[in-house]
Amino acid sequence: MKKLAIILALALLLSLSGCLNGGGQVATSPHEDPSQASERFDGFDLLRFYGDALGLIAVSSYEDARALLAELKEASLPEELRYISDRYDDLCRELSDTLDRVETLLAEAAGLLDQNRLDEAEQKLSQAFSLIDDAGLVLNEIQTATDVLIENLGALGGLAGGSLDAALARLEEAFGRLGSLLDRLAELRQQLAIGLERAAAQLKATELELELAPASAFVGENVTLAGRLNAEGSGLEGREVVIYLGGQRHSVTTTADGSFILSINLPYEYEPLITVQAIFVPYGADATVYAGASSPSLQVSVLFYETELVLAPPPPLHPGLPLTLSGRVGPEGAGVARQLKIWLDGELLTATMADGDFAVEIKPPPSTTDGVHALELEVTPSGRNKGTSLSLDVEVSRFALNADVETPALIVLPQSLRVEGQAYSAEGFPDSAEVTLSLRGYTSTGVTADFGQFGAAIKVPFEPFLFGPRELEIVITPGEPWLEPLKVVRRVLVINPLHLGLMAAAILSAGLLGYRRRRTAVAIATDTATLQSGWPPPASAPLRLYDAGGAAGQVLAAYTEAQAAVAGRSGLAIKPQQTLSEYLAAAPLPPSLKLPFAALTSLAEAAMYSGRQLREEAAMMAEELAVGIVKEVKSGVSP
Amino acid sequence: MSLLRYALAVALVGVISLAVMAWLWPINDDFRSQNPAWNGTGQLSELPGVEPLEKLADLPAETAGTTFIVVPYLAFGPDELAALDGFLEAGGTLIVANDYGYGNQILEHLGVPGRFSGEALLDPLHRYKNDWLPLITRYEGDALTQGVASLVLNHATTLEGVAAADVLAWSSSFSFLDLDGNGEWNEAEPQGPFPVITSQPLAQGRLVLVADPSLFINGMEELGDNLAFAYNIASNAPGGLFIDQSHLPPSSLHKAKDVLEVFRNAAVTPAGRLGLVLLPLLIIPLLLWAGKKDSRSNGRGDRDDS
Repeated sequence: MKKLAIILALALLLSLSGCLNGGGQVATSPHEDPSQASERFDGFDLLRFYGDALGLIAVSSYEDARALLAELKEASLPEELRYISDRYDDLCRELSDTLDRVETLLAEAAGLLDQNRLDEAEQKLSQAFSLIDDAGLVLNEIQTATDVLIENLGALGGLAGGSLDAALARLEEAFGRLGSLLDRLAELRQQLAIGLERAAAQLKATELELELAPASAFVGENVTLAGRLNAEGSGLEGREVVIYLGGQRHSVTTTADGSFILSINLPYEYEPLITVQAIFVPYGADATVYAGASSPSLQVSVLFYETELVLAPPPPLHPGLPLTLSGRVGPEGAGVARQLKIWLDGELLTATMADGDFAVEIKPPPSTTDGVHALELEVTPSGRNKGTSLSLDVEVSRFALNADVETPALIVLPQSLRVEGQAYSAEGFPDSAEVTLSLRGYTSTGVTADFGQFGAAIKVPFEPFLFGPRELEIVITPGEPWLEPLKVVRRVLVINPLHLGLMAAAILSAGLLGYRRRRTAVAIATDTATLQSGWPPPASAPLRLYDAGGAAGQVLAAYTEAQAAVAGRSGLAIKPQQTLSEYLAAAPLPPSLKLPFAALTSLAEAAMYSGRQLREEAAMMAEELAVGIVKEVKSGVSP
Repeated sequence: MSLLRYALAVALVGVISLAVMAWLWPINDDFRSQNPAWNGTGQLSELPGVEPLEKLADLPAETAGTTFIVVPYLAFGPDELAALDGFLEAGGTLIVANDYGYGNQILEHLGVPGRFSGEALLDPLHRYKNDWLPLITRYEGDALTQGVASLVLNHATTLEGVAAADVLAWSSSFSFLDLDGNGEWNEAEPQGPFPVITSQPLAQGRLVLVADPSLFINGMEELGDNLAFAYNIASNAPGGLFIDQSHLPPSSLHKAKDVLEVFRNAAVTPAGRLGLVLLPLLIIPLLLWAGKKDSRSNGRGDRDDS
């Protein structure tokens, strides 16, 4: 039955322990363990998207194609495919760029043709012709690369049978559309070339001369542009000539002899060279008579002063703590004060005027986080002086706060726990920093005095359940944003008189219990030794066998009585190392004693060693056997 | 010892053993902050200023500067939805991180047009290990995405009906919605890019939608810049980052821990502690009395024997 109870209890435990397993997972699997996730790659997807990219090129969506190729460049591919994939990307991008350029050139050529600018249109068409040939070659290379890519994908096992056919069909379609695009572009170029020939035969050629004086000047200074528009050797009067100077557009009208003159201020662009070109575009009645013309490109040397900005390496910055940056704005002796702006992470810290050496105080915002930040200095342009800037990474940090703290090792409730100490940092002592003490919900605050010294106390009242080692938390919060708050944790042993009393009571109770158990164990040991030695117990200590009450006790008592009689009769005492059966075998007894003593021995052993409860009948039998044995011994029958 | 006493003793030992095991055994519930395993959010909870919330009533009254992350795998009650309203009205940032849960219930209540599509987002080329772990590399500038170059999602979904100007992160052009669940792209299945993270002002606060709560689990923190994203969320919540735990399905173990927590809370009350102190003082005399009774009965047996 006990085994059954154990089995049932274990079954109960197992069924209850189901709560330790899993559970708590949501109905739809929301994720998988990334460290255990299986790796899988399907080359079909790669080919499909190359097909998409080529398809976008084929419909002249070059920007979209480039964006898609840029994303493909970042695709997570097996390393074995990386080289051929990169090469494929490059070829696709080259094809896209080339065709984009061809379309741009053809559009420009058409525009120039509309303006009768035949020479320039011819140049564009020539370039487009060359590029169309290049595009054809690149397309052939892409087709070759496709074969290699498919071969590599097949070797990697990354292509399913049906998927391969679908991907190939997609690519073939893209190649077909690209071939059509190339044909269309070639045809367009041809049409433009024919138009160009026709216009050249019909229109009168014009010529545009341009001169520049001076060839170099400071920004903001005037330059003079003069020139002449000729047609078949004579000047064209009253025609508008457009002059492009850098990013500026100016226009001038020709005089009676076809000449023109224009004075222009050089822009404050601080570029060493600016290109100047004059263009004549016939319009109105002239559009059917004259060809357009453009002058040779001239270049103006632009003069300006470079600005030098030097900054001494700044020390680490600290939030809210003023810091002086020093450096120099040059060139030295220029005598011009320059505006200097200083930024931290895009936030303007200060703006000041500087000429030569400078020392500027900045104060990082108190909320600036610790870490690396971007410091930028900018000298704005002024007149002939070009602006400049420099940026550098600076470390922003807070000073670590340290504290020497003295706390008591133990307190006995109720007691006021006093803490004293001194807070300091590399920057100095904190000014009126808040000091907060807390111990298990009891808090107290104070502030630091001169030299960071502080003293604060918590009144810890008597609380029945506060005892043992406790953490005392000391938090020092400085008011200066450049100081890091500090937390110090100390252990304090809290001694509670109530608990001492309770523990003493528990120890005393346990000691008393242990003492009683020990006495009982000694009695058992004494009884056992007595039984095994065969010596009768002293009169003052009545025989108690194993403290066994009931039938077992009666059997053992009967055995003891009979064994004493047998020992007296046979002269053989039971030895300490002998079992009852061994004593029975060793004792020289007549059959009239041997048989009842053997039966009694058997009962005694059952009483001593059997796990079963002896019945009253067994006790009565034992007592009867003992009485018979004693009587037999006393009857004086010799062995 | 009688059979009844024996069975009672075994059951008592078993219950105590189970209670101890349930108390000490770490839970492995999805998204739980106490779960240190790959599917928990223990690492996120260890960031400075992060506090898991067992009920919405524990949200602070002053929510300006605070952020509240909700992973809604259980439906919200009217009071809870009202609590979200109040949180936003007071200027808090609410992050709804959802894939296949009750995120749309919240969005519908808040009256915003955006929705979680509930369809699986797969990416065959921009991904980690397999298509179900898409890599997100397209971002719009924002404090939450500062320094984030790539995020790895895990069985994510997408957002729909959101304004393009509100989108902070997009899936790649190669991603697609696996409408038929076969794990492969078919002609009828829409292709990316899809919005996966948005941010928009709402009431006095801000509503951020993240189409994958698994972004925040321990196993994903080390992948890509997931941890940097979590840091950004935490660092943009100077008033505290709260993580909702009350809309996650509790496991049996979690329920058992809750029951034990009730006992523990009772035990730490003054009355409970008094009981814990007095219990041994009651048990020891009882044991003494029982021992004395046994010895008396044995003594009586001895006298009977003699």
